Amino acid sequence: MNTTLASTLTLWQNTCRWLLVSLSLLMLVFALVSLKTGIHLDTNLRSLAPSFSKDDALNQALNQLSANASQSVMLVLAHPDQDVVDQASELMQELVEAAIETDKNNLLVYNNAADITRTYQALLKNHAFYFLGDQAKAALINRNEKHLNQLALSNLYGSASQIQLTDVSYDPFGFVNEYAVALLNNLTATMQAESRLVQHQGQSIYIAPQLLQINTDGFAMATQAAALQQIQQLQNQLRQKFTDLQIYESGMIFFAADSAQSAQADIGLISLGSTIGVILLMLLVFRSLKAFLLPMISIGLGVLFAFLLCQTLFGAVHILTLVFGASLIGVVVDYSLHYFYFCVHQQQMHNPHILLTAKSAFYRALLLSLLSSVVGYAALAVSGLEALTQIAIFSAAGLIFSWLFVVVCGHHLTRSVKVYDGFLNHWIAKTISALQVFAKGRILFSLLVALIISLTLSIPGMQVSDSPKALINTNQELVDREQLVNSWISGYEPASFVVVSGESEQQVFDRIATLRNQLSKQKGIFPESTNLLAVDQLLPSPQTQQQHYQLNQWLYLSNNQFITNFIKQQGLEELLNVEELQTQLVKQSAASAKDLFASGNSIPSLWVESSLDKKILSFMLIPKHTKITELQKILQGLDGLVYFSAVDETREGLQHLRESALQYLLLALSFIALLLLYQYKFKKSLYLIAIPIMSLCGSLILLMLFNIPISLFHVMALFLVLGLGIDYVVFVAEMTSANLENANDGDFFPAIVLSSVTNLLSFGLLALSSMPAVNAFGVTLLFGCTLNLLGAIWLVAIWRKTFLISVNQSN
Amino acid sequence: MLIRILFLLFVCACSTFVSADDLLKRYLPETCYQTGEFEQQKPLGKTQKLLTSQGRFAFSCNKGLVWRTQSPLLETNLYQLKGRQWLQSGDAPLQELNGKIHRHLGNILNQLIGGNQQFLNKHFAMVEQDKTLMLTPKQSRMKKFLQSIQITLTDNAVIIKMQHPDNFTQVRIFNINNRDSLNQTECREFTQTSDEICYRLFES
Repeated sequence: MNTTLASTLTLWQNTCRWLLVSLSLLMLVFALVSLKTGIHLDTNLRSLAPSFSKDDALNQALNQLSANASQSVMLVLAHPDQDVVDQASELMQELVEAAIETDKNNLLVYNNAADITRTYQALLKNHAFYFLGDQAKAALINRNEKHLNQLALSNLYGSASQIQLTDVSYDPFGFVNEYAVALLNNLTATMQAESRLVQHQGQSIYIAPQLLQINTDGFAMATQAAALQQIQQLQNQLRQKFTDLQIYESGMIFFAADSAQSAQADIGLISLGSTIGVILLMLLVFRSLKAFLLPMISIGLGVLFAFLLCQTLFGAVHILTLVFGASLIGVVVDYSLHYFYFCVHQQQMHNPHILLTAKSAFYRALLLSLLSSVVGYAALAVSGLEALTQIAIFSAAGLIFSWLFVVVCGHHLTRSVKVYDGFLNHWIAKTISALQVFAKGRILFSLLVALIISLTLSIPGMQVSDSPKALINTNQELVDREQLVNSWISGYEPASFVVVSGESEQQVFDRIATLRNQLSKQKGIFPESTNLLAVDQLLPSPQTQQQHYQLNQWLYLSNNQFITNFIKQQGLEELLNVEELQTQLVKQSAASAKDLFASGNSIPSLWVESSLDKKILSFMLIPKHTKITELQKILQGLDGLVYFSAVDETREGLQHLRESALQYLLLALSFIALLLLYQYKFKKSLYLIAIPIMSLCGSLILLMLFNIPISLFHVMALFLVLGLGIDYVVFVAEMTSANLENANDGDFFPAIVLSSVTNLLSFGLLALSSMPAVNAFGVTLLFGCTLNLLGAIWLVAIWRKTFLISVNQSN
Repeated sequence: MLIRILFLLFVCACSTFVSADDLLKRYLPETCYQTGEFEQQKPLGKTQKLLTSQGRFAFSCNKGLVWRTQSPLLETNLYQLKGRQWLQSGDAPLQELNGKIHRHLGNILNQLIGGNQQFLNKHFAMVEQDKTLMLTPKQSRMKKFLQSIQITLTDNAVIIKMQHPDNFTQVRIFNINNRDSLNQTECREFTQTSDEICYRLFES
């Protein structure tokens, strides 16, 4: 088998060389073209979170609500002098309006009632006879003509006519206008920008909240920067005129931007750090710039291939993929390092048989190393997180291409490369010698069992963290500012809702009514003058609309004498025609919630109709500072109503993923164990698998000792620890056995040590990241790689003693 | 020669220059207690048909305004200076109005009737055109519901025309009586409203 493999590889190398070179050239051309057309970087941090639900319609609706929330920005103007605040408020409005008119790239608009009013007016016109104000309804139910007359007169002549949202042609009595004005007052209560007095740090100051909407996704970095720049420009212009004006910012975009900046800084740090570290190490060991050719080209082409593949498959490469991609440098350089060492030492093998055996062992080790790393990364693909799936594909593709390049073209780029690793050899030999005392299988397996038992006993007390905060960098200053603004300004929770489900539109409305009824019995759940915002405040239920229609039928059809007399008394004959009104009434149909929310307006989308299971979902917005626990208690006793919190759902999602990932880890371990069993005998494979298992257990125990709560990202990193550990032990097994007749069989071990050091350099730097998820990866890999290295050194000592001695004895 | 011309121009400009305060004093003299009658007209929707209503009012500069419509319907609005507003339709119970726009319009009416120069100077730009004082809101926020106010003086009457985006409201105020004082009883007797209305006005 060894001979066959070596010959096959040689033949394959020769035939694939040109193929690879051609492919590389094609990639370069494609890359140049992509640069011209634009490289798409996905900077949306929302894709880091698991889907809220398995229901696509619900996911889409929740994502839409999250997107709306991410687009809201509040700027609170504050000053002890009310006049200053009012003038600043006025100036800000003028600046925003001027920007809308003059700047086509403007992203900021005021979130005001005008848009909502316009949308509503269109709806009322088309379904006028299905809407009635409360007073009108009461008068129609009682069929009190005197009251109706009074009401109609008041709507025409009195204070009710001050705000006219409907037209007399379809609303002659102003009964629909009454409904519309009440609705507008409800909706716009939280949009007020008027100044008011608050207490801040023991002082009385006036504040004027300015609610803006940005016409872009607050989580997308590309447009985030533009929106933030415009916000900053606005503030600068205000401060130019009002030098001591305080402006407090609130909105998810500020948190997203802060996290995104951290991610960008991390990429720079990790790439630079990895590169410098690896360069210095290479210079130290090889002392030749020629030694950089193979690693640099293989890394460059590997990353390029991975980037283009991901761009093709996903449309864009996520910023987090690039952060992890930067750490690939450390893994990919391993192949070059192993290749250098092999090439240097094969020159000393004059016996063709030994050379062939060594070649077969080397390529087998290289292949197993690749496979184990790919298995390690591939496990990320089953995480359920889109971003991690992309990282898996990026990393696996990059590794495979780099590996191919090293294997196929490495020979041409490693000529005349020499190794100056005397110091390393000396250190390794001393370490192995020191470990001879412990180089017994009994000790290895005893330690392994002890670690497994310790870990098993520690599991109940293990701290875990499934907080969504792992996905962002929490800036305390931003949090404090957000809390301050929330204490002044009421609004709605951006990521929590009550979800109402029903088989029909009426059932949804009924359930909302039931909830409101229950809530009315309990005071103090909501802050004063606030309540849940739901579809019932924007639209009467189907049943209510039918009731309104029947009342209007009585008014316009059955009792048209009233309307005829009214028109005559008020001299409106030229304007109103009873027959036309009656025709309109007959033609009209009820307004549906689906139509209201489908019109793409400023009204938050509170309605989803799932085509999958014909279920209707409606969302109720929760005012800030609501007593959520009490609200949840009430919801528990009601059908079709659940409390939804994006934070809680994400936490549960991450918990589920973390628990599943641990199971997948065991599966990956089993698969690799079978692979080793297939390649080596039972006893050898047992020794080989023991080292990565020890590294895994040791990493977890170290995390617990350092009081680091285990998250999904720690578990994902363990996959890489496994993959890299297998990498080292396979090389120990192959290169030691292969050199039975070579007195210097430890000469390949410095490659393993160097490989491990480069991994530590690249992954270890991730531990410096401010993003908790990336930091988790880094810390786990730092522990894991260190333990892998120590384990590999120990394995060399054990292997020599156990297997080489037994072979020598048999010989 | 040039200097003489410039001097003459300067003198002419000075003589025609009228301050905003002077304009207001002429058109809307500041007053503390006032009663009077009004006739209000507004077009019906976007048509030219004018709807006319009549009534009476009582104003106290430190309390607010009672606006009593007597024809063609009975309706009373109470606009407190503090900002709260009530409405009574016919004999129905008093109901408080909470709308923001209602509040703003009520406040403007209070300040116009009282001729509050400080308020009007602060919020409006003023210019006199063809014996009409034109007030234009300085704040764009106010312009969204009130584009301008035109004040015209006629024999024994003041005509206030409020131009809104889609229509206008014209109020002719006549039989104006500037008083030395106004109490709850006098308010009720003049406006012929319920006890509760004037009680609420003077309790504020």
